[in-house]
Amino acid sequence: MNEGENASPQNQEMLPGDFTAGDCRQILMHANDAILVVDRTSGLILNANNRMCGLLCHTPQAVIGLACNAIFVAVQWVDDRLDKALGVSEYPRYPGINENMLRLADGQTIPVEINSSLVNLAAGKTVVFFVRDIGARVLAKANLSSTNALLAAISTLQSRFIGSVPMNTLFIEIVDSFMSLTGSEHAFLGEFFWTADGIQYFKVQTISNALRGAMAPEYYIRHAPIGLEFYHLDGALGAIVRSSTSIVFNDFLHCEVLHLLPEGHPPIHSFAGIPISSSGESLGFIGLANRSQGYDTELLDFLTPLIAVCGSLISAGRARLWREDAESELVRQSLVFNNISDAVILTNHAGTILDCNPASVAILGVPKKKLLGQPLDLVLSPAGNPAYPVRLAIAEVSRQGGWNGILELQRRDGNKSLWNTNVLPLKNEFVEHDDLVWFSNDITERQAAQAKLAKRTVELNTISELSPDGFVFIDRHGRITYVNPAFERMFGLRAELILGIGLCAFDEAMTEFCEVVCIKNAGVDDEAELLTLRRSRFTLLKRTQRILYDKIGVLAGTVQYYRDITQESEVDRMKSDFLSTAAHELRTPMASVFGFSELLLRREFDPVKQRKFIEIIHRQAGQLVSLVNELLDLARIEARAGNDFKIGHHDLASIIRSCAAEFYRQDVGQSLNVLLPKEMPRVLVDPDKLQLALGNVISNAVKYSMGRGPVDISISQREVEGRFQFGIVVRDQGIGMTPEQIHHIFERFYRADTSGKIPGTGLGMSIVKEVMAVFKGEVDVRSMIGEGCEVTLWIPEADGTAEA
Amino acid sequence: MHTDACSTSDAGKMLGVSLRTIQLWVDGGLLDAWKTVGGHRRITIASVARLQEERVVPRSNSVQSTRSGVSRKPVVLVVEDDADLLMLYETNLSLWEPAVNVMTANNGFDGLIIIGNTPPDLLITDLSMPGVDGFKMLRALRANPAAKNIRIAVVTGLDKADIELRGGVPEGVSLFRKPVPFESLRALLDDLPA
Repeated sequence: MNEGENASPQNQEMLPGDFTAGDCRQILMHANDAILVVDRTSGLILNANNRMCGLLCHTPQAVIGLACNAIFVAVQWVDDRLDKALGVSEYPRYPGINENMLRLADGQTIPVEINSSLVNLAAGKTVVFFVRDIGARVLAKANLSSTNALLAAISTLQSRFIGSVPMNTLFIEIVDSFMSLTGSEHAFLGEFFWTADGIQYFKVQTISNALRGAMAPEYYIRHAPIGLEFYHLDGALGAIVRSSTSIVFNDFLHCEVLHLLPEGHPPIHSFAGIPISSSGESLGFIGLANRSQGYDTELLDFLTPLIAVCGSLISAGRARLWREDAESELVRQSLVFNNISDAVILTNHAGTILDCNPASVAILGVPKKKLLGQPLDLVLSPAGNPAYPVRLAIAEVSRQGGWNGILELQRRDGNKSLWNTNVLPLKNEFVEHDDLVWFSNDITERQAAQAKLAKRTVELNTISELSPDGFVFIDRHGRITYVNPAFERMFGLRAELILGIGLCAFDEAMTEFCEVVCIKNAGVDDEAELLTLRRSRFTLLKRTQRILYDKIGVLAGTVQYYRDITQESEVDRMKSDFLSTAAHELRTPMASVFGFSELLLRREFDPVKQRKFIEIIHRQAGQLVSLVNELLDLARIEARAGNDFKIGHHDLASIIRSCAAEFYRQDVGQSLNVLLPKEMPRVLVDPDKLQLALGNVISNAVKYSMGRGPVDISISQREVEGRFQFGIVVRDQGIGMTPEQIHHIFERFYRADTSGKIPGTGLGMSIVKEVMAVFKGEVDVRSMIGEGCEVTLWIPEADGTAEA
Repeated sequence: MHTDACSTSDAGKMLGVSLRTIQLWVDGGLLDAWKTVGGHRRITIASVARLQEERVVPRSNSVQSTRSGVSRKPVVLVVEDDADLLMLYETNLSLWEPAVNVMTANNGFDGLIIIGNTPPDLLITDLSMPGVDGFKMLRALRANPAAKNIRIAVVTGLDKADIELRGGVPEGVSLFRKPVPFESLRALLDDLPA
């Protein structure tokens, strides 16, 4: 210090408060404040005290003569002070801001606080700067603000959690807080979980944006087994993440875990890993990276409250999740309980109702509060039947651990319904005896349907057993499942032979066993076929097939229906036979009459031939006469249905005689014997019609005699139900008839002889039957093949009253 | 299984005709037959019996008839069961110019035998006859290639509808209704190739 330049003339006197020069010097030398004297005009440092030099780490010689701008960082402030000293500006530009940075000899800067005064010294006008090192204060302030930031972060996170922010969002905010509090470039946060098999794994819940922006996220996704989950916690990574103390690598590039970083990962210089736990349980891990000044224990200590809070937040978050799961599980279960249509009732071991679901309330029709506390058996069976299954069920449950049976519930509308009920014990460690759960579902409908089905089955079985038509049921696989008795009869088969065989085998069997001659389509109905059975008797069957489908349109089976249409077809055939026969029968004699008369007209023949021809004409014409008459008779009887019969009392003998006379006249070379008793009854008949009928009978007798013997006509009588009947008996010795022929003899158009040798239309006997019916009589036919035939026309005795 | 059957040779013996005739009758449907698994023909006794029965009908005179086959006169065979009509035919045909040889049969069975012996140039047949009726006879003829050249005319009392119902007549057969149209029949002879 240059003593001389600092001396001032004012210092010569010793005033109170004055200091001697020596004192001043001492004071200055030992002052705590660093003092700097700067020339106002030039801004050069004139003097500096020890403290200043110490602060600057300069020697006095190095300091003096420096421009003060060189040692102050905020030079504008300095200039401002100097200007003020010079009186250039009236108002200082930086009033009150006394802080600046001091540049030390080694280039470091430290924060300082500066006060300045204008002092006139011996050297001239100077500004004296009083400089104070505020480094500690600044540090303390920084510490305080970072502690504040920490506390602010903690309370923010806590209030976010309380505000029910989702955990994912909270994790992001935690990571952000850590990054801003530590000044780290990257960060991640993860949790520890356990799989159902007891394997621990680490799941990264969130990573910093910087990491996310880099390629690292792909790394995580690519390399982690499932998303950002890491299962191999046995190695170095595991050691790190599972350690209970924090880990710091400030020289990451050279540390042993560098290999854990994959390619593409942004470079890591420093790393800190902080485990998070709560109540001794390891919950998670936070990783921080690339703090510029590296990580130290001081920082980690500083972060301790925040880490603790994270631990408690994660723990609380998990608890909240479990609670929510439990709640939604409960909601689901109560949804089921409340909405199923089955009745669910909870009772205690004695059968008192503890709870019941809405379905059971609906069925029983009793409000829930009236059900609770009631004994179940009383509720179900108000009559209080002691034998009711409820007691039985309870006993059974305690013995066997469960019961299943059918309960009868009295419905709200008074009807009974049947419920299939399961009873199970409900294990409850808090009560001495287990409660019981009763599950019931309504089977009333099902039972009713089954009963209906059984009844219907019986009906159908009866129908098919009794039906004269054949039924065959074939299932969807083409197997015969049922044949009815009529079918067995039709084909002469036993059901056992057919049941279970397939359709192909069935068709073959039909052809083989039953000698089916031909199958041809019936034409109109595409699904009907005609089967001709080759048997002694011609049999025609119509087979119809129908395919059955069930309700959803799937093939269920096939039904074949066999109907014996022999009779119908025969009648049809006979009818058409009649017409063609009649046409032929008329045309043939016509052809003779016409042909021979034409021949006679054309040329002369010798008398013999001529006579022959004329005879033929005459004969055939006569045949025509009979034919025409017969046809007309039939047509008239059919048309009038007996209305034109003239019934009156007549002598039977004369009718018979005049009838027989006709046949004598025809001279057919057949002898005819009429044996009548002396006394002949009178009968109530239409003589013409009776003669017609008798004539037909005699005509047949003659035709079928074939010269084997005479035809005898006689009278008989009998008593039927108290009334006498007279019978005209016509007996011939002809070829006779089979029982089959007798069976059909009265059928229209039926011809016993179809060879055509014996003329006729097949109408004769049917006319006879119709006529006798009008007379309230009968016709009897008795015959044996080869032994002739006996036909008796029975006429009731006239009882004296004239019938209209 | 079918014990009521016989072989073709047995049938031939029973009916007194050659195997070939039996074959014809089977083809024409006059005899019911089927083939065994081994390919042998079996004929039902019932159908043989049926044919035998029909032979009870008096045989036509013409069965042993003229073998004056060298003559170039056209041969006409008339098959008709009504005796009077048959006489009508004979009388009429004997008056035809140029003269023809007339043969007659009163049932289809005999008609076929005659055709087998001497195929006629013209066949006139009724349809409704007892036993082997006209339909069966015509069908048997159709199956027989030797009968291809026989001109056939049907004179019948049946209506067209009835004829169709019973199977109709083969193609190429002229159809006439009774009374007998002698002029039209005569005209058929003119169409015959010389």
